[in-house]
Amino acid sequence: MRQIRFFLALLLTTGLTILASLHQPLGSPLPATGQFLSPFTGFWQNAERTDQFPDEDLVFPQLSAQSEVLFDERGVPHIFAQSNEDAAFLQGYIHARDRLWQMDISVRATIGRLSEVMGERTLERDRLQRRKGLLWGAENALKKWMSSPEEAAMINAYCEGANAYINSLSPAGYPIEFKLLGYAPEPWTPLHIAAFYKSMSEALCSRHEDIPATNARLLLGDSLFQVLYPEHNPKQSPIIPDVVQWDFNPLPLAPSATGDSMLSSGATRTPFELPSPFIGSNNWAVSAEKTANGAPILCNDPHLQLRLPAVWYEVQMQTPDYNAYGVSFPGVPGIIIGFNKDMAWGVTNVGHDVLDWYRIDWANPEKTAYRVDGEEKPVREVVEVIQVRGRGEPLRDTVRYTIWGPVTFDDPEHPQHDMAMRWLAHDEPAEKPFYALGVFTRLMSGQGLSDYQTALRGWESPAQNFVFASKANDIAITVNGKLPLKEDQQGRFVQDGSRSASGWKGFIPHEHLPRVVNPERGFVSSANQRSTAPDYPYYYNGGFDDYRGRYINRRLAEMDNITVEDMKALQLDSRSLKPEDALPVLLQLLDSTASELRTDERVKALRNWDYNFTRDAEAPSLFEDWFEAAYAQAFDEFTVWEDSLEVLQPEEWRFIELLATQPGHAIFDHQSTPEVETAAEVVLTALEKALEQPPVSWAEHKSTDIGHMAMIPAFSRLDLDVGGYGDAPNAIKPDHGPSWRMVVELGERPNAWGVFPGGPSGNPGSAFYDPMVTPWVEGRYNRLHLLDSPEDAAVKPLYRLTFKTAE
Amino acid sequence: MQKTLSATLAILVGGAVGQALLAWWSLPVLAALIALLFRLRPRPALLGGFLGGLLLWGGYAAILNAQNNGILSAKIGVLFGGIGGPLLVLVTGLFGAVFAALGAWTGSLARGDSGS
Repeated sequence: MRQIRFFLALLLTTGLTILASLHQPLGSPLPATGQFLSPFTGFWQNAERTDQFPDEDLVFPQLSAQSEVLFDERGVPHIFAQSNEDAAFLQGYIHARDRLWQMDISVRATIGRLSEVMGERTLERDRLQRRKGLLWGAENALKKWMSSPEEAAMINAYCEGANAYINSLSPAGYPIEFKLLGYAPEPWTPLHIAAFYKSMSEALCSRHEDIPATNARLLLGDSLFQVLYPEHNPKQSPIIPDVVQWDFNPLPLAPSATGDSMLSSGATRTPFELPSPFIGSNNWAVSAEKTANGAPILCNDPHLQLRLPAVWYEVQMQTPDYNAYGVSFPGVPGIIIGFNKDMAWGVTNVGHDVLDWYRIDWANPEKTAYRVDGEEKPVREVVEVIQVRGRGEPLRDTVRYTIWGPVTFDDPEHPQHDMAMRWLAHDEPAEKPFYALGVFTRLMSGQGLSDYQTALRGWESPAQNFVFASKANDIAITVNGKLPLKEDQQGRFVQDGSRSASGWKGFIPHEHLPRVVNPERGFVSSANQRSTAPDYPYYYNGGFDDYRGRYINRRLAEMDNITVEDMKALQLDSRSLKPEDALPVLLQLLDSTASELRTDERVKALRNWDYNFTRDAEAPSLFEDWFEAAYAQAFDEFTVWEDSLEVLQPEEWRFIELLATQPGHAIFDHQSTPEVETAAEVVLTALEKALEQPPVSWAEHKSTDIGHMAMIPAFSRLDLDVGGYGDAPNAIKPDHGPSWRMVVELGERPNAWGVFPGGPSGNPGSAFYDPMVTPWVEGRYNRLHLLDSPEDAAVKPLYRLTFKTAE
Repeated sequence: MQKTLSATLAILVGGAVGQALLAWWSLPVLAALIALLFRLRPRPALLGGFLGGLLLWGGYAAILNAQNNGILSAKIGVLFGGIGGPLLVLVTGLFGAVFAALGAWTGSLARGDSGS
């Protein structure tokens, strides 16, 4: 009897213990409960102390000399090292310490390795990432980077630092997401760094419209297509002012590829979800002549995904070679946007289209070869091996590579299974004295204009508008990166991959990139608008902003005696030129009707609106609903096609222009009615529809969330009560927006301010996880302290980590 | 009763030393060994294990929670069906209590001559 009771007890205890040790037991989404709840190893270990921050001594013989990292009151690290490699080691260490899971998951998502830890549910996503060639692109970049001793030393030191931290971890110390998802961190390698760079290329320069544009031209015919999709907005205020004279002889182009090489046939769906069209940024610099203190001011606010842990990591890095402050990407060395005592720099994205699709002419049904200029070429077959958690055998997927790039779709049912992807970010970088990482080292140590100009030579992809200002009062902006040399219209549509003449004609030489130094108007700026006026000798297409750049240029031109506070106010300015362009036209068309809605109370309020997308205002909500409804009704043909095809939508500025100048145009006629409608009727019906919505504040209408990267609501900041608008400088959108706001006045000592919606720590259990979200919402900035030494009295250190080379 | 309390204390001390180094399931194993060592009968073993587990896990969680100002427990509580931080401390304690009790109970039954 007793024995039976013992065995029963043993069975029960063992059974429950095993059950509580299983990750996702019985098909539930739960982590291993026992491990997760244990206060010794589970989530409680991630509950960081908020009352004590002891100093620590650490020993790493890899370092060349004793170094120190001081953490200020906001938890921002200030690194003091004796060499650039040591600084990279320390940066790797603290990035891993504060953001390890973010680093891990970003790279897994990019190169198609999520299924290793998430199982079957991410398998299709992984397969697509592999087929898009992200890993291939990362390997190509890394090959070149590691051939440069300078770059290789940085990369290796950074990885050693990150791994020094990773190796010090016991499972109890893993970031909480590893515990929730039930996996362990892996070593950080040079390939991880290159892969992170490719994730930025994917986010910033993989957008393309070849297929929807091809479909639109096919369905509308070329003449209507040209009417609806002009490439140049006459109101544009380009990055490089119109007055700039091009002082070079443009390269001649190889024989023409126009005509039948740009196919208008084969209407198909777009293959994969495109990166958000909402990615954009602002940067500008004003010269000393325009400022109150007689010192130039540089500003930058990159608009990336709003998420937690935040995209950016704030840091100061000092070595004998440089002393710089700014923001870095967790996972890669260096400061991407920042300043030192002599100069400041920042970036916005260049919208040029660098991803084109080519239709492949297969030479045999097995698709082992294809034809180019009548000649057969074998495909290069690459077998991707994808490990899948909970599945014995990995998935093996064969990808065909052509001279253009990978054939992304293998499913014969898929309308794009015969197209190859030509993407600049796949390319091995051209031979240079230094590459991407060297660019930032040079900016961090730069003393003036020539250092900035030299640094930019190393940068290829994703192309960025690099803005610059120096204490010596030089300001400059360069549309910088590797950009394909295209002939007119090339890359707007799917191209014929059976002719080598369809290829890009080379690349725009670095010396011919659009740039301007110390323009007469006293400022330089960019906000993702077109790089140049139409007279730039090289053709480019892409996606460009139409409102922020114009507004910022208008404001900067008007302003004088500019202060740091003025610049913050401009970054926080939620006024937009879109309603300034559109609303008078909408109201004029409404007034041309006999509708009673002309005197509706809400419409009256809209008439008095100052185009400012403030948090509490209701007018912006009505404007947005009205505008969107009018657009949808004008282009109702598209909604019919959308069920079966991806068709490019005309740009909003063109819609406004057509409303204003051609209200009788056939596009305003509803397809579903026998009557012939004009713009006025479209506008009226749209208003009726918009007024059906109850009045709501703009913050509620827009609904901005900062979501956790694993979509865990409790780790997110949701429904923020904040204004802003995608087409205003303060470009806060539902899940994108100013991911870092920085203003630097380059006086005797830099007077610098910044904020990002997050915090230094990636740990939801830390007081430093999201302390800057509220200041960011409220438009407040933090003072950025560029310390002279670890003893600098400008900040009160919270604690210090001393890195010794021996005990 | 004294033996039960001694076992509770032993679980508390042994757990505080060993749990940080060993896997979480060392808790029921430890409780079983202590019940065996203290020659506890099943009922006192259940009680002693329960109290030991509760104090060990719940107590330590309460300390960590207080030092953290409840920042993390509020968030994890949401994942556990919207319970608050203090309740999550209790849940943690009860979880430890149940497994220590089960372990101690099993340990007490392992001895052929006790409990009769």
